[in-house]
Formats: sequence, structure tokens, C-alpha cells
Amino acid sequence: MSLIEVRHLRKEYPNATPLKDVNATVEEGEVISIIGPSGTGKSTFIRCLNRLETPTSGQILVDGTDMCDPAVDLPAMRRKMGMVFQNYALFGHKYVVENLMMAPMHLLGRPKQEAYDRGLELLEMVGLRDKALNWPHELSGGQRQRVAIARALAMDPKILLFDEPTSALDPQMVSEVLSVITGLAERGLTMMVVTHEMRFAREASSRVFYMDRGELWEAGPPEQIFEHPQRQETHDFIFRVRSWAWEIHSLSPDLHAMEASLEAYCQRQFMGRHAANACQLMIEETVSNQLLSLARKRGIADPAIGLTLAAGEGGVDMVLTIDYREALLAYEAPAAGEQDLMSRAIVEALCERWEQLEPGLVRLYIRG
Amino acid sequence: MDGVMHMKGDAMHPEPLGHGHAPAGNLRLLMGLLLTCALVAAALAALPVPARAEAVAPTPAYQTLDELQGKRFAYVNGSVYNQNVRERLEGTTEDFYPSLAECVAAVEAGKEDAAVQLSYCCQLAVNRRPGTVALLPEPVAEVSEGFFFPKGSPLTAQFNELIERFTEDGTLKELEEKWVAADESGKTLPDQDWDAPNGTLSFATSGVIEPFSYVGEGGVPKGYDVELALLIARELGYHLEISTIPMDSIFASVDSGKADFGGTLTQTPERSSVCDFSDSVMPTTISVIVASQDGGATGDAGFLAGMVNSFRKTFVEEDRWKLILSGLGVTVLVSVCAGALGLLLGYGTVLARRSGIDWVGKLVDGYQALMGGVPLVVVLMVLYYVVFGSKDVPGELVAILAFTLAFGATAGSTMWTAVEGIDAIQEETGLALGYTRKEVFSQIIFPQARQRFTPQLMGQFVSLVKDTAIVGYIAVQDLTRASDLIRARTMDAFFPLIATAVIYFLFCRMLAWLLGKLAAKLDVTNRPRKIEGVIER
Repeated sequence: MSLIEVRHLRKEYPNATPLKDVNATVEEGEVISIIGPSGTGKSTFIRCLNRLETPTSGQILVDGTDMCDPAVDLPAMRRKMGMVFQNYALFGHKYVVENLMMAPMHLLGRPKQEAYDRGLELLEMVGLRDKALNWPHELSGGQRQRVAIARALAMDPKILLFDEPTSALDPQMVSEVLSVITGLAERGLTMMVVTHEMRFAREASSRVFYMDRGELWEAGPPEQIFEHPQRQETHDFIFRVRSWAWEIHSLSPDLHAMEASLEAYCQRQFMGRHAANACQLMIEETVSNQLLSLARKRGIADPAIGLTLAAGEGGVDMVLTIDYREALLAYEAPAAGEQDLMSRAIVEALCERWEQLEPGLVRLYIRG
Repeated sequence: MDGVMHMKGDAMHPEPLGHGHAPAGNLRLLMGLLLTCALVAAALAALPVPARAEAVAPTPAYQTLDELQGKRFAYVNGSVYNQNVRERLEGTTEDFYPSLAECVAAVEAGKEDAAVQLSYCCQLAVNRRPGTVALLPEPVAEVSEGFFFPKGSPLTAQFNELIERFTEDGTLKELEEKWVAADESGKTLPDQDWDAPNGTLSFATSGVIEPFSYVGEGGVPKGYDVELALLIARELGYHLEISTIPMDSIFASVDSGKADFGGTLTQTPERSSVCDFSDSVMPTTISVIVASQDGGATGDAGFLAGMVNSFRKTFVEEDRWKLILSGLGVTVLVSVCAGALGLLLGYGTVLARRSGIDWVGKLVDGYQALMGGVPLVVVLMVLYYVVFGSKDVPGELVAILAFTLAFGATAGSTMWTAVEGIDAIQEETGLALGYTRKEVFSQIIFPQARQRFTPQLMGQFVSLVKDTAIVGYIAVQDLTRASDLIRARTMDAFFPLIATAVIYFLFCRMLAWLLGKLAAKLDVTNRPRKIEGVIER
């Protein structure tokens, strides 16, 4: 029997239906990443599993127990399934180690010494042994989230649920939390993680659930979901999260905003300084120095330039697509004096190769 | 005679209950206090100076009543003498004060031009404030006062019979001579050593109208009215239980059945429609006190001697410090009991709101809105004179109940605000760990909320202590009321008020300090950085 079985799960609110019909099974020892666009029921789904939300209909079996049975002992079931929230929510009136001791002492009847020893052990595991006697507010966000994970582990749960555990953290703290979760995955704990961290989903999970519009569209090993998605919806999503898009509709566009957005994307893809600079330079040369300057000379009101950059993690396979089909006529047949030859030389140097798919639609393969 | 003062209920203020003037009176008292503080120098100059006590009679600033046309007049709360003055003078303004002492202080300070009261009382006041105020030679009117009873009480006729007998046999004359005499030593009351086959009557009297009704040594009520009431009770085979009630509540206490009879007060048609009055117990006159032309220049004895004298009169004479001390005791009793019970009640409202039951939450809303929208003094009087009007419930208990209700409402909403301020995710975290909703509240939500509301609650408790100053309205003798009674005796408004202020201030500071210590103990963030009861590794 599967550890978790979800059948025809549906959740309705008066003005929304975040879950339409979800079916899923999770085996013991699996690490499931749940990905998908924001606001498509991922959190609702995971919160239904331990009944923080009550489903409208459907069935949830955890370890053979029907969580929707009115007679179910919810507190007892929840002790088996730890949960880590986006906002850590440590108990502010207790020291860090007490945060780990409380529930085991109150709910499992553990002796204080045992709870304390175990608490220290877990803090050691998440790298915060020397913060045992700190107040939660004295820790950074990443440290607090690691304590929250240790607190959930202190109850020795069979299953650990994570609801976007890194979404509230500053980028530099994300990895410290992810490495703790990855460490747990290696220990064989059953985990379900709602996340926007694609690299984590790809590298740490045994299976990935792609959820969208209240349904589970596709479930499969990371290679399938990320490399060969079976459904169009999955494919589009994976492409969207891996690519960067920008549109220019003014002769003096906000290039700073564009650069900041591009920078953030490059960081998210772990592209590295060199690759990120190449992309940045490429866009600057093609857009600012060629297309925009041509548009200015010819007095076009709306330059109508669309940019899409797709890159694999670590800066492999960087492809910039420039789409100026909308204002194609305006850019046609530049005279020799209208071209910036220096800029053109730079572009060619940055390119591995390029192709024109149709007039006004160019694809540039940037050197890594 | 009566009590000198008369309760309210005159033509201008026809309400049958006696508290109509209270808020205005308090406000005036407050303003008076402020003014007194502002004019400390002037007030100090006016302190009584023993050396001048035997000086020649002071010269009044006005010689005849007619000169007071259109002037400002001070009356005691509940007095109906303003009607007598209106018959003689036009265009006077009328202000009401808690007792004659404040009226006299207002005249001394120049806020009022004249104070009106029974002639005997006026004479006494002038004697006690030598050089600052004087008596207008001409009385305003003749008045007569009587005891009063709930409508239809058989006591009325029995009292009238005895008043007639005592008038004829000269007993009343003897009483009058005894209580207006300068010699204080003979002014004692008979012990109630007679048999009382008919039980005990409760008698409500003001306690602030010397020589008719005032408190002597140890706060025991005495005076002409009190002795006459005792003599009549003896003839009728009763014992008396005597309580002193503020002027503006005394009528209400008889009307509501709290007391079997009260007195004495001037009879008016409005009052007669609510209570039955006895025949007049002593025909007398009312007089006017005005400022003295001599001005209260500081005597040879100087400032220090004046202070010493005031201190002696306020605290030492007749062991009045005992009155103050027992008043403080009552203040402490009421506030501590109400504080503890109010905390429980407030916690109860938080639990009730947590229940999530719609109508329970609305009930709590209603209760808190009610307490927030009705002045506490009104709540207090409604409880005492209406809700428990016909039952024999001690005023202290009613006061504790009223302040419990009040503190329960504020404490409850303070706690609830703090509970609401705890992030909802804390609750979900607790549930996800396997706590029940109740355990989440007691182990996670409330302890964190407590960290936030404790300092605020303690401030509110100190406020509560100060707020208890109104319990005098229901005959509870707290610190403020003790100071009222003393002022009525000494006719010195300045010193007892300042002394009362100082006592409240010191007490509240001490309380705040103690509570601060307690708060520091309760604050978990002050704990040592160690886990108790484990072997550290």
C-alpha cells in the first residue's frame, strides 16, 4: 500500500476552486517536488494532506487512514506528518532548543532530558548547534527555517511536508536551507516539497508533480518533466521558467529595469558572471546600438521589439530570440551609413551561430 | 434639622434620584483642584493661622443681601436653597460643590461670590476659616427639614408622633444647644444598649453637614440628626445602622429601599412625590458666606505653622489618619479584588471569542461596547440603586462587581488584541505539530500574547485603582470619600485634597513599581540563557 493516496481530491471556496480533481500516490521514501505556476493549488493541495484545509470532496489515505473521516484523530495523524511553512513561525517565547523540545515533551511524553538531547542532535544536523540558547528573533531567515525543519523532525514524522520553504528567504539564504532538505532526502525520509526552485526539484527529488489550474497534469521523474515533458502544459511551463522575456515599445525604454530583470534571471539559472555578461552585452548591442538607433533615425513611434532569452542551468545553450516582425517595414534595408559596423562585429564575436527563422525573427546562439 | 444640605430635586432639577448634579460637581471639584494648585501661593496665604483664631469678627465684603444681585453663588450638591435665593435675588448664577468646604474654598479663591448653607453650618465654617470668609448678618430665609421615608412607610407617622413629643418636652431644644455649642467634649451619642424588639433600621445620612450630620473620631457618624434618630429609634424599639452617603445619593438610597429612612433634608413638592417626609425637626435659617474684607493675610505664625496646623487637623485630630488609612484599605480591597476577578473575566471573554461561536462573540462585543459606552460612575449607581436596589448587598461588593465588569471589559479587549496580533501561521504550525486547538492556544498563542499585553494590562490596573475614587457614590468609604468627610469637618479644602493627591500618587507609583517587578519576572525574555532541569552537554 502506498504511504499516501489521494483520490479525486476537490477543494472549493465560494469564489474559487483551487483543486478540481487531483489523484496521486506517494510511496515510502519518495521525495516529491510539486511545481507549477503560482496560485494553481499547490499549497492548497499540500495543506489538505494534513487537513489544515478540509477538502470539499475526495479521499486522502495516509498510512492507510482516511484523513477525511470525521472520526479521525487529526492530532495523532499530524504527529506523523511534519510540516514546514514558508514563514518558519518559530515560537518567539521559547529558546531555539525549546522550540524543538516542546512538542515531543507535550505530545509524545518524552522526558525533558531526552527531548533536550535529541533537540541538540537535530540542531547539530542543521548546523545550528551553537544557537540552541538563542531567541528565534536573533537568527537570520535561513537559520530560522533550518530550526523550523529541525522542529518538525523532532517529532520523528514519517512524512515531511514543505510549503514553499525558501520563498520568504533572501537569495543568499536559499541554498543553506535547500542543502538541509537535500540532506534529508538522502536519508530516506518521505518528503513532499512545494517549490519554485527548479534546480532543487530536478536534482533532489525522485519524482516531480506538475500542477496547474487545480489539476495534477503530469507526474514523473525529473528527467521526464524537465527534458521530455509529455504534456504541452508542462512543456510550456518548463520553458517559461527557464526563459526570460522582455518587450520594448518606446524609443527611450527603461533599460535599467530590463537589465535588472535579466540579471535576476541569470542568477536564478546559476549562469555565472561570464555567461551573464555575454547575454547582457548581446542584448545591448543588438537592441540599443542597432535596432533602437535605426528606429530613432527613421522616426518610428513604437519600435516593437520582443526579446526572449532561454538558457540551461550553469549557462549552457543560451539562445536569444529577437522578434521585430510587428514593425518589420520600418527596419527594412538599412543603408550602409545607417549601420554600426563596430557593433555588428561585437555581435558576431559573441555568437556561436545565428539564424533567421523568418523576416524579423532572428535566433542568436550565444557563446558560453 | 437637617441635614444641612439638601439634596437635589429642586424645581430646576426635578429628577427624583439624587445624583443629577454629580458630574457637574465633580468637574467643578476638579477645576477647583487645578485652580487651587495654580494659585498655590494665594491658597497658602489663606491657610488657617491659629494665632488669628481669636481675632475680632471679620468684616464681610458685602453688607446686605441686595448687594449680591447677579452674583455667583455656591451650593452643596443636592441643595434646594438656590430656590430660596432666587426668591430674593435676580440673575444669580448657581454652582454646586460636594460639600460646604469646597463652597468656602471657592469663595476664598474668588471663583464664587457667596456660599449658602444652614446658618449653624455657616457659622462653623466662618469660625474655622478665620479672616478669609465672613457671614452676612442677614439670613436668607427660614427653612425646615425632616427625615424622609419610602412612600407609605408606617415609620412616618411614628416619627411624627415622637417629634411632636420631643418638641413639647424640650428634648429638641436640649439637642440643639448640645450640638451647636462650642464645647466639643459633650458631643457624644448614647450607646445603643436598649432592647430592640422590632429589629434594626438602616439610616442614611450625609456625614458632611456639621453640626447636624458629620463624622467624629474613627469615622463614626454623629450630630443632631444622628442623635435625634437614635432617640426616636429607642422609643420605637429599634436599633439603628447608620451609614454616610454622599449628598447627591442619599435620596436615591432611601427611594431604592437601600435605607429605611434618611435625613434630614428640606421638603419640596418633588421630593414629597417620591418619599414621605416627617414633620420639621428643627426650624432654622439659611445664611450666606462671603469673602472677608480683611483678606486672609498671613499671620505671624507664618506658612510653616499654617501647614502644621492643617496637617494636625487633617490627620491627627480625632485620629483622622485612621479614617484615611481605612479609606486606603477599602481602595486597595476594591481594586485588588476587581483587578483579579476582572483578569479572570477578561480571560473568559478571550476564550469565548476563541470558541468561534457567532452569538458568543456578539455577546462579548455587546458587553465590551456597553462598558465602553457608559460612564463607570453610572454603571456603579445603576448596579447599587437599581439592580441590587432592594437587596441588602454591601456597597463594597457592588463596587467590586462594577469594577470587575469594567476591568474585565478593558482587560479582555487588550488580551484579545494581543492574541489577534499573533501570526495565524503560529496556530497552523502548532496544529501541524499535532497540538489540539486548545493546546495551541494555551501553549503557543497565549504565552506569546501575554508577552505583549502584560505591560499594557498593568497600566490599566493602575488606572483602575484611580478610578475607584468614585465608589463614594454608593456609600463605600474609600480614600476619596474619607478625604471628603474630613474636609467637611475642617472646612479646609486645600490641604486634605493635596494630601489625598499625594497618597494616591505615592500608592500608584509604588504599585506601578511592584507591577514592573512582576512584569519583569513574567517576561520570559529575562530568563537566564539555560534550560532548567537538564544536564547540559
